[in-house]
Parts: sequence; C-alpha cells; structure tokens
Amino acid sequence: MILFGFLIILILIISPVIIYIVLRNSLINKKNQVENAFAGMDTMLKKRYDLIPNLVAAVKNYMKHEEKVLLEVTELRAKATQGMLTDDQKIDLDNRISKLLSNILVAVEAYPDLKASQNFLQLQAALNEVEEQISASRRAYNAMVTDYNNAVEMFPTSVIANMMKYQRKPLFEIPEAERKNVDVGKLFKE
Amino acid sequence: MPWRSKTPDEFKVFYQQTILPGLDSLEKLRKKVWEKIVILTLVVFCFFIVIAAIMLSGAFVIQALMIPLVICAVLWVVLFRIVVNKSRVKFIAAFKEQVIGEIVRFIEPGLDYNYSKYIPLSVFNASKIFNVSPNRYRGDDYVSGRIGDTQIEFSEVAAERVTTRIDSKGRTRKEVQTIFKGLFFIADFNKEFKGTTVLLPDLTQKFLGRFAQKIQSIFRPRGQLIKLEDPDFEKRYVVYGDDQVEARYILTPGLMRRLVSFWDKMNKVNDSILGNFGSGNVNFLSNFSNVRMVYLSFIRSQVIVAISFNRKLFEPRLFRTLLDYSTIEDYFDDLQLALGIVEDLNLNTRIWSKR
Repeated sequence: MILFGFLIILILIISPVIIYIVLRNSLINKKNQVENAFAGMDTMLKKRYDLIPNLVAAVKNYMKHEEKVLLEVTELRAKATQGMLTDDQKIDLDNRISKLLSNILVAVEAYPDLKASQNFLQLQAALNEVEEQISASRRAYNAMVTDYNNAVEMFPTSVIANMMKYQRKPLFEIPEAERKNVDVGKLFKE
Repeated sequence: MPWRSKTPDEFKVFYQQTILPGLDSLEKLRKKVWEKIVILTLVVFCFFIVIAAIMLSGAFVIQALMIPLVICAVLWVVLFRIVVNKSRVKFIAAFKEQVIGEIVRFIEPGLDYNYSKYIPLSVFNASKIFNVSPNRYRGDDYVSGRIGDTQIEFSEVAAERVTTRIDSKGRTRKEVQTIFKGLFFIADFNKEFKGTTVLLPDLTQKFLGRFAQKIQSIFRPRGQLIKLEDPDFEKRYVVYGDDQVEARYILTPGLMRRLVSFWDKMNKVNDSILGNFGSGNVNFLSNFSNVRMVYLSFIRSQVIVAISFNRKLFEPRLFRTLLDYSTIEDYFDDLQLALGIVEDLNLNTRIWSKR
C-alpha cells in the first residue's frame, strides 16, 4: 500500500516534468524551423545576387538609356552582399532589387536585338527560376512562422512560450507593388 | 506555335471523314461476335431445358436442377472460349486500331499508340503514390509522344493486391484489394527538382470512418506534411514531400489553382460531393464511388497523374452499336481528358532554366 502511494506521488511529480519537456522542445523545434526557413530564403536571395553582374554585363551594351538603373542595381547588390545587415535591412534591400530587376526586364522590350540574344534568354530563364525559388522559400518561411505563432499563442504551449519569452514573429509580407497584378496595357504605354 | 487541343467541332468533321467510313466493317465484326454469343447462349439454354425435362419427368425436385445448371454454365464458358473468343479478340484489335488509334493521331499526329502495351509495374511503383505494391498488375492502351514541348506517356492500368487467408472455418479465402484502377499519366515537368512531392486526395478519417483505415493503409503518410495557403486546394489534396521549399517551388499559387480546377473537372464540378464529406451521412459510401480520385506525384523532374475510373477505358461495347456518334465521341472525350493534362497543368510553359 505504501509502495503504491509512493508510485502515485512519483508519477504526479514526473509527468508534469515530462509534459513540460515535450512542449518546450516542440516550441524550440518550431523556432529553429523558422530560423532555418529564413536562412533558406537568404540562400535563394544570394543566388539572385550572383546573377545580377551577369545580367548587367549582358544588357549594358544595348541599354544606353537605362545606365542609371543598372548602376543602381549594381550598388544595391554590393550593399546586400557586404553582410552585417539586420533582417529588416535585408528585406528592404531585397524589395528594392526586385523592383529594379523587373524594371530592367520590362525595359528590355524596347531592344529587340537584346531580347532575341541567346545569352539574354538564358539569363532571363535563370532569373525566372530564382524568382520562383525565392517565392517558394518565402512561402515556406511564412508557413513555418504561422506554425510557430500558433504554438506561441495557443494553450498549453503559450504558457511555456511566455516563460521562455518567445514572441510572435512577423510574416514576410509581399510588398504592395509586387502584389498588384501586372497591368500589361500600362506597361506598353510607358 | 503553341500546342492546342482539338475542339468538338473539329472532331465531328474528323469523325465524318475518317472514322465513319471504317465503322461499317467494324460493325459487321461486332455483329458477328454478338450473333455468336446469342446462338451459343440459345443452344446451351435448349440443352439445359432438355436435361431439366428429362430429370423432372422422374421426380419433381427443384434442387436437382442445380447440377445441370452448373454443367451448362461450365459448358457455356468453355464453348465461349472455343467459338467466340477468337472473333471477339479480332474485333477488339480492329476497333482499337481503327478508332482509338485514329483518334489519338487526330489529337496529335506525333503520338504513338499501342493497345497491348502499358506503363510497367516498376514505373508504377516508383511513383511513390501507393505504398502497397500490387501483385496483380495489368494494363493496356499505351500512348506516348510529345505534346508541344512536353514528353508524355500514359496507359490504362489496374493494380491489385491478392491475399489469401484462412478463415475461422479453415477455408482459404482469397481477398482482392484494388490499389488503383484507371488512367496513369506521366509527363516531363517544366521545372527541375530533386526530391519527391506527393499529392493525395484529402479524405480524412472523419469523413470516411472505417473506409479511412483501408485507404490509409494504402497511403501511409510519407515524408513531411506540407501545409499550403490555398484553402480550396487544401480541401481537395493533402501534400507530403521531403522538402518544404521544393514542394512550394513546384506548387506555385498558379499551379494550385490549376489543380483545383483539374480536380473539379475530373469530378464534373461536383461541389455536392465535397459538401457531403462533412455531413457524414450514411449514403456517403455511394457518393464515395462517384468521387474520381486524383493522385499526383512530382518525382525526378516528372509529374505523374493517376486518375481513378470505375469503368474500363477505351474498350468497345459488344452490345451497343458503333454507328452512334455519341459512342465514339465518348472515346474522344476520354482521350482529350488524358492529353489535356498538359494544358490543364500548363506544362508547355518553359520559362525556367529547364528547356
């Protein structure tokens, strides 16, 4: 009888500890997945930075009028690859580069020779590819953050999240300019 | 020039010009088979009457009729094999070459059609859609070639698992579990990828009850569950994959929309079916058989689409005239459905590194 009581007390003590460990680990796991997804996004962005010098080199000779844009994108790239940036700065730079790149690709329409060149076509395909991968990694990041945020706000993990001072993380939002549907008619008028 | 599928009107013209002239001789073949079956059945039936009359004249015991009935059934099958089957096989072969083959080449002249070949078992297993390996595997109506820039192949397949077990009374029982029956389609995907992403119909336990266990034994979850943003898509498919980012690289918001429409097209926009999932009504099993299951697998830079069918595809009907336009149009529709996957999934768009 004494042994039985002793066992029950033991279980009463141990089981909260086990539950605590399991919940805590699942939270840590989710937080790490978010970080991992952010790193994955970074890798994809680096891929794009690698393509920029090639793109600039390929279009430079044709696009005399867009020299300013090309210069700007080169500068931004240099800034982005320097490192020592906060996450917010990274995202901001990335957004500006996205915008410039799409401007360049639209401007190419005015140069039929360039548009037809094999070199450029390959670059364009590579850029499309990278853009698609960047978008995939952003979506994967958002899915991980949603998972993490749910865990931070929902009971019972919310209690442990509070103890560990885990906070909600912001979702990666697509900038307004990118979210708008492309108005093809307007592009041609410009 | 981008590839486009044929319209029903174009098919009508093609039917008048190419298919219809050959149908007369096919119809003769069909009638011959049909007549043979009727005569055979009549003869066996008369034989049965005679035996039954002889037996009944002795003593009136209904149970005694079982013996001649069994004998006659066996006789019918044996005679069918000897007398009818040869002309039946000949009819089917002629039909497939003259109707199915012609329609395939009409839709895309570069396609090859072989009615006896099919997607091999090794390829079926490598798709990783079905976790149970079949031990009875058949198929026919193999089509291969290019649609625009996309290499494709498909065939009808039927994959089953036959198990024998000994029941409580000591009898051996054979159980046949259908793993998949329908159209198995493989195409070159327009993007390059390394891992595996599998899309299964989202039929979870709460909708299916005991059925779910059977299904889940076939599709045990594999890899990571991939949660996607599109609620309509999530209502229809459940996605497993070994890479979260790669799965999203393949399943772009655009492709997800296309897959939603594709599912609806396969099920003839049956919102009522999806609605019934939730209500958990008793009639669900009858609805269940109406749902056309769509499975997809993205593997080795290919997309594999498996669409379940309750009926046999591309087979002639012995007891229905061929001279009816709608009969032939049904074959055209089935083939369009298969070859239309390239357009439905936008596979000819090649704007990424892969050419």
